[in-house]
Amino acid sequence: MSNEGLAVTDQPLTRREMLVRGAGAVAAAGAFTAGAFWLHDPTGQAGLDTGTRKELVPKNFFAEVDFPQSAPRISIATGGADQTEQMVRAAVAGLAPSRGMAQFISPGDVVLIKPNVGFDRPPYLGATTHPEVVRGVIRLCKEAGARRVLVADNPIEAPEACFARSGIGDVVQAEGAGLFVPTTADFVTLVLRSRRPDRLQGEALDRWPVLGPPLAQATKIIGVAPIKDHNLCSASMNLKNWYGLLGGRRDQFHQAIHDLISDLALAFSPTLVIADATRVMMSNGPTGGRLSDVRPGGLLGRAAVVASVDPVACDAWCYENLLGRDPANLAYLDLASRKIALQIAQGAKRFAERDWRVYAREGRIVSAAV
Amino acid sequence: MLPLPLRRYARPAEQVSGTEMVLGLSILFLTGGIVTAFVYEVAADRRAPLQTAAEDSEAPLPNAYSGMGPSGATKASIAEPPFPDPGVPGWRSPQRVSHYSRENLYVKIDGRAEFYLQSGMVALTFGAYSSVDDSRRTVEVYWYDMGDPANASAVYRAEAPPDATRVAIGDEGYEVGGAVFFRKGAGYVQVLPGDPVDADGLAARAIAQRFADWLARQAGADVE
Repeated sequence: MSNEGLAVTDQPLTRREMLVRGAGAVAAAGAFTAGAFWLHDPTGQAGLDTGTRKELVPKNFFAEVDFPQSAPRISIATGGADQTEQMVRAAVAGLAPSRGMAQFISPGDVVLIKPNVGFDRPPYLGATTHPEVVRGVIRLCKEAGARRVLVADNPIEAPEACFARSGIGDVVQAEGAGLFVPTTADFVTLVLRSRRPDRLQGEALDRWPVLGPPLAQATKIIGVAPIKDHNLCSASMNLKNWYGLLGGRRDQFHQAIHDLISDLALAFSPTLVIADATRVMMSNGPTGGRLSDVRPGGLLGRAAVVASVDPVACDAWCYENLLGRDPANLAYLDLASRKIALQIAQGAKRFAERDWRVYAREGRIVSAAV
Repeated sequence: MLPLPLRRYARPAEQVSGTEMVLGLSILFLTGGIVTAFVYEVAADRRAPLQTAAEDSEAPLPNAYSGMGPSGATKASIAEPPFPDPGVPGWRSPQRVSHYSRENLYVKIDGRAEFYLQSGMVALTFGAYSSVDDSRRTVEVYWYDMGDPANASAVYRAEAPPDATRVAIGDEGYEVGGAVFFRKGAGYVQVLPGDPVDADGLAARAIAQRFADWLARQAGADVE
């Protein structure tokens, strides 16, 4: 083959020329890689249109609550099926008899209410938070002077359908609160750890997309979770409820569900949690499907609402007294209390009592029938 | 033929020195290593997917009926409308039917999916019948193709409450609170009224019967 027609140099490259060319190639590769890193957005579309930061760090939404050390930590209200709002009021009042919700919500607060709207199922099946419980919480927040009340969740199924079928969408609209229906652009990265999670320590999360705008805007957060049997983690209650704020392929956590739930307990420190036990899903959870799967109040046998400033203890109480199971066997309670205890030791204002009986002995569990 | 800008660098192989060859290959491998590391650490970042599960559930699988395993009912449905006519005055068939495979079942029933997957589920087909007068009144049908009658029977029995009222629908069935649950062959079917009122419960039972008959016909057609 002839080299004719090619601009071939007959002289071999000089060492100098070769080194210059080599350096040029390395520089080009380095510039390409640096450019790619510079252009890379770890959160994708999330955060670009939200008006919020692209990253969030956990915030303690209980820190600013002036809550007396001697006050009750768990408050249970029982009542009839048509007394849901009264039960919500009574349960919250049990924690703060003189001020009620005003103990937790200050005038001007932006309150994020986080119900469980995970499935496209009607309220009677108990797979989602009862809309009347949400209504009661919205009203209490407004009465306490909240500037804005947002209701948000990232359902497993289509959000619009879930909010509509659960009845929560209608309630939010009727009560003049804001319904936040998530889109793919609404997720920002929550940075729980700046290092990779240590699986041996029961850690699951480092950075993960969460529903950004409502979390960024909120000054207070109230979790409102139904109590349900759960196929993977035995029970879905207050701590598991935060799972609904996650985006991404969250199903990949199924193999480490207890680690994840306890990490969520660490990441989300709510102002208040309210357990909806108007009907408790005793079996075939978390979806259920039968009236026989649910029972008003679970083992209590009467519809109930439980308010608490300690999500860990509240879950332990609900697990034993509503679902009839031994909280000593619920792994995520152990993990959550240990992780939060470390936070508390570092000065965080939180409660995470593993054994609800401690509160019972101290007279910190109150109950009322409406 | 090399592109014009590169021709000036082209030389016969015998004119390339050994040092030049070693350095050139080193640069080539180094560049490849950088790109590979970049792809591994960044482009394939496990944090990247931001789509919601709900978004996934909006997209029925285009080939949902392909490769669904041995269940006759599922295979026969290729040639049939996805769900039978309700056969109940004032009710209409699902406007849309969604299909879920083993890979994406979690987008419909996250948390419960493993129960069916561990029992050998092949596919779930879901549709909602609705009232002609009020589209908010619905009867939802979850049709699990368990691949095998034994698998279907296992999940049916595992979920059935002990005191359920038995009904003569499918191979075995029961009714609770207006909802009907039955097994027909390899199919496990849940028929759930949107409201446990009598009217919707009656519609659910009629639709369940219709669905069981339809599955039986599908199985028969498949055998033939």
